[in-house]
Amino acid sequence: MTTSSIRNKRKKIIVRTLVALFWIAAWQVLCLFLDNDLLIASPFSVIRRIFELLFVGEFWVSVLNSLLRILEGYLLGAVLGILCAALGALFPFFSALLSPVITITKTAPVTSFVILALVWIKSYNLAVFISFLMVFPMIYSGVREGIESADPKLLEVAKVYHFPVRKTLRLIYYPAIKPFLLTGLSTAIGFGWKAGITGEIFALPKHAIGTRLYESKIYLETLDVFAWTAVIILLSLLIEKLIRLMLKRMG
Amino acid sequence: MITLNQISKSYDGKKVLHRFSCTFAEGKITAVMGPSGIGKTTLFSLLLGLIQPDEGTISGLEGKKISVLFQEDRLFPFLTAKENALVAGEGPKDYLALLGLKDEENALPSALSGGMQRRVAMARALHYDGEIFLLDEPFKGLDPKTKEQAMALFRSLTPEKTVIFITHDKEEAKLLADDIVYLNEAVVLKDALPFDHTP
Repeated sequence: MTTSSIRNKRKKIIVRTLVALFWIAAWQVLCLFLDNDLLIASPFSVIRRIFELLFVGEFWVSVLNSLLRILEGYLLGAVLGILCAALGALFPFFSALLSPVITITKTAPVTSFVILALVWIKSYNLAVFISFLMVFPMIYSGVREGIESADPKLLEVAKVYHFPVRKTLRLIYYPAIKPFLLTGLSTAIGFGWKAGITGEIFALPKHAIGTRLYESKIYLETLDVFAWTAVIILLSLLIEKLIRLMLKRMG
Repeated sequence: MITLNQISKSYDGKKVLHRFSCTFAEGKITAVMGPSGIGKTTLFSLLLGLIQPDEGTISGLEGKKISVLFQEDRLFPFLTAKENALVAGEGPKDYLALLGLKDEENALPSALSGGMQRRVAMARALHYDGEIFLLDEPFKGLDPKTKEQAMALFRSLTPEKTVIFITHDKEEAKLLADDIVYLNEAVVLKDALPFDHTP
């Protein structure tokens, strides 16, 4: 790493820390101004509450259950997204058939699906389904775009030299799809996570972050609402970071 | 013999080839010449089966193995020169070495000059070891010495192989080709000029 890049990185960290401190200070000022625990919790009490939660077994059970459910939906969405994109590229009829589904899932609000899905799906599986619903169209569209970006000149090379399908996939389609797929996978996790938690808030499965958040709201435990929200944000950042790191290593 | 009989091809209503007929002798080198836009590359694509004629027939290519050198190098950017050369087939000789690229075989195309990339694409066509060689401006961007080496290499393929190459360069055609097809007239000049067989 060069001296200038180290300097740049350090500068970036300082700026980020200052920005964070500014907003925490603004939050604290607002707390002091409102002076009402039911309306807003102070940043320090939220941090203290998160540390308390870390020593409660139910916290970890809820976190792990939510993570598992949402990752299940994420993986399902990713795998089916890739498969359907491949099928869509091969069979235009399949692509046309799927087109309205993709448009609807991309444009309709998450809550509409959650409310509808509540009628059909068990509370445990709802977050899986909602997370899947967010991830699937993103991966599908990304992979389709990647397939379409495959170099037609190299495809002609593959054709005239009679490359087997596997070789064409490995040498032409995979490199074309890879950047779209990696971007899709790293972006989709954040969306899947948020949508999955929303699903839990409606479905209220026994052990879930969404359920804990909902209960905190019902019992007017504003501090817990803030603490669970902070946990959701921190976990979202952590998962996104981990997925990006994993994808970077794979790429 | 490869025969094109009354071939017509249009793009968006514009006729590129109209009732074009010609033959390419087996075991010989034929140069295809003609002014720009006359349909040389269309002819190339038709011979490769990448496009179909609107009318007419092409015979003599059925089931034949065709080695191709496109107008552009069309190399795989993430494969080394050696991997690119061997991507379509193993071939009987070390063509990269014969084309003076032994030291560059582990380099990626981005690290090679235009002429070197052309030679890698050429090596790929040679390694495929087709019965017919279709070459679109094969010597484009090569320096005189390398061009001479490459020409000798293609000459050595005959009479076992049939070589058809597109060129704008009259000298190239005169030096290498047994026959020349002028596309604007669609005539074949037999034994255009004898080739000096000494490499």
